[in-house]
Amino acid sequence: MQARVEVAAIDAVKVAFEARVDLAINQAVHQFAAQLKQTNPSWLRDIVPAYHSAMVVYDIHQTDLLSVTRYIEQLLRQPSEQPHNVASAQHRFKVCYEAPYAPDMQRVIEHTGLSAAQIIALHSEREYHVYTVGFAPGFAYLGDVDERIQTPRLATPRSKVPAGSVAIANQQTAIYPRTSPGGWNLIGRVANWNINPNENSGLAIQAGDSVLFEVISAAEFAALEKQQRPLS
Amino acid sequence: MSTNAHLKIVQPGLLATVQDRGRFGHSSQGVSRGGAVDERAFLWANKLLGNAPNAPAIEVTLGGFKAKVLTPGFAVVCGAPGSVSRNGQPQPNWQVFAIAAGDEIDILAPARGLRCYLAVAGGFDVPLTLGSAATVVRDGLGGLRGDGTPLQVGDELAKGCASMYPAVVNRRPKHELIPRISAHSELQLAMVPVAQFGQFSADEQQRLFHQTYTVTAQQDRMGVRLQGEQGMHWPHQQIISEPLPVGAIQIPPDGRPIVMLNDAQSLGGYPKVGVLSWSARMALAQATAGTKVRFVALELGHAQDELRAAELFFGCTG
Repeated sequence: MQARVEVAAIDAVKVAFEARVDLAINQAVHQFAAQLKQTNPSWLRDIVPAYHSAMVVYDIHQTDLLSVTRYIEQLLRQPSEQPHNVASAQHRFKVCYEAPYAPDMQRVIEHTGLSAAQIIALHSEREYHVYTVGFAPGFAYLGDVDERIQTPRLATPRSKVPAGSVAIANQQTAIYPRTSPGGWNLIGRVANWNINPNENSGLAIQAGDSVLFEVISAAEFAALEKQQRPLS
Repeated sequence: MSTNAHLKIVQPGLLATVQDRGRFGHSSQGVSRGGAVDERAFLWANKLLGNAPNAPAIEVTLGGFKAKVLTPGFAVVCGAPGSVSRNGQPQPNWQVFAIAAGDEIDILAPARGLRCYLAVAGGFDVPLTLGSAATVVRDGLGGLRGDGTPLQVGDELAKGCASMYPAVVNRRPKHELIPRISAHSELQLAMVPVAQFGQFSADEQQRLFHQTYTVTAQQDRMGVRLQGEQGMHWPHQQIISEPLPVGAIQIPPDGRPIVMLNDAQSLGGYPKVGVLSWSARMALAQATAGTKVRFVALELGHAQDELRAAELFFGCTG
């Protein structure tokens, strides 16, 4: 896939593929990021993959723009020997799609004309691709949402969306990593959600990974949450 | 309370946070860099004390800060020229001083500028969160508690072991090396045109360089909004969100530039016209509302030379 290398910052370049939000293009971005990480040139400081582009931060004490550009262009020309050698992880989350955790379910029902059961089934039956992570630590943009349940953002964002809320906005879905303002449609809540950087948490989700949602009942949700509470 | 506490916060002021150079290598998890916004003043503080360049220090925003010294040592305050005092006696900033148990250090609101850095010999011993002590409130990461909360009344900070050389009382930079913060003259902000700059029309590009912008009060550790007479018009469709480097100049739909600082989110969906040079970013980090600024184009090579020289000078390469 064709890509362009251009200056992004004093010590970084942007590698830009075709400017579309598209699964294949995004996979090419992550493929490139994985390839670069694997070859791990000594000047590599950081890679930030987004939808159709990735920023590569380099050490200006070790190399220069021309050398980095040449290196990346050569890497992009190399046919990747193992096309799916991207060491991506799969994350599974237990989600309760019932009240009170799904305050916008009614809105999605009205917008789509489907029943709650259909919406839940369509949302939870597919494996989502992590296009990118941004906006906040652990905020993973997942896609693509089944066309039948795609629903636009709220006209007025909520000032407070609880952490762990599962939400959809058009073709994307996400888990709100922390309690924050937000304008996506809330249709569920992850049980035992945590974003603690020292534990295996939502922060472990990286761009290029995949995410699965497992439906649980309100009773199961309550039981899981209770289990997690430390004994007082 | 920790037994080896070195400093106790009596009054944090508007915002006092523990900072180092920032959190690197976690942008793909959506983590902001964070770190000292006026990195130059922060690095000077550590250099003057003989600390390793990344030793955590306290970033004090707009003064109003008071701390009690619990064990003897050395300290320095670099950055905005606020009046600093030790037990009520004026203490020149940009100059190392000895501190003794029981001393009270006050940092008042600076006459010019926004932020100063209180560092101690050895640095502060703060647990690292994702490899850094940097406090990023919006990310909920870093700082004394690891959860991004700023320093609070009663917080105690221990002395670290980041000393490379013994601290020397009265050590200060040569006068001409201390960055000056002027409240009157127009600030020239050197920037390298990047990203979508070329997709703006020639007229719009001229507009960026040929007008004076004013720094607004809409500014924090995330970014600074500028006000100009004429907005820049983006003639194309919305762009797809892409990585957002620190120092990037974004043009939102109202056409008024926002310059991103250390706590900026890792992705942005507004077109960008450039990135500030290192020293321009340091200057903007101290620009109070009302400061007049003008953008000046700089070649990438020159911007890299400047950054490279600064990193070599402060010993933070590799």
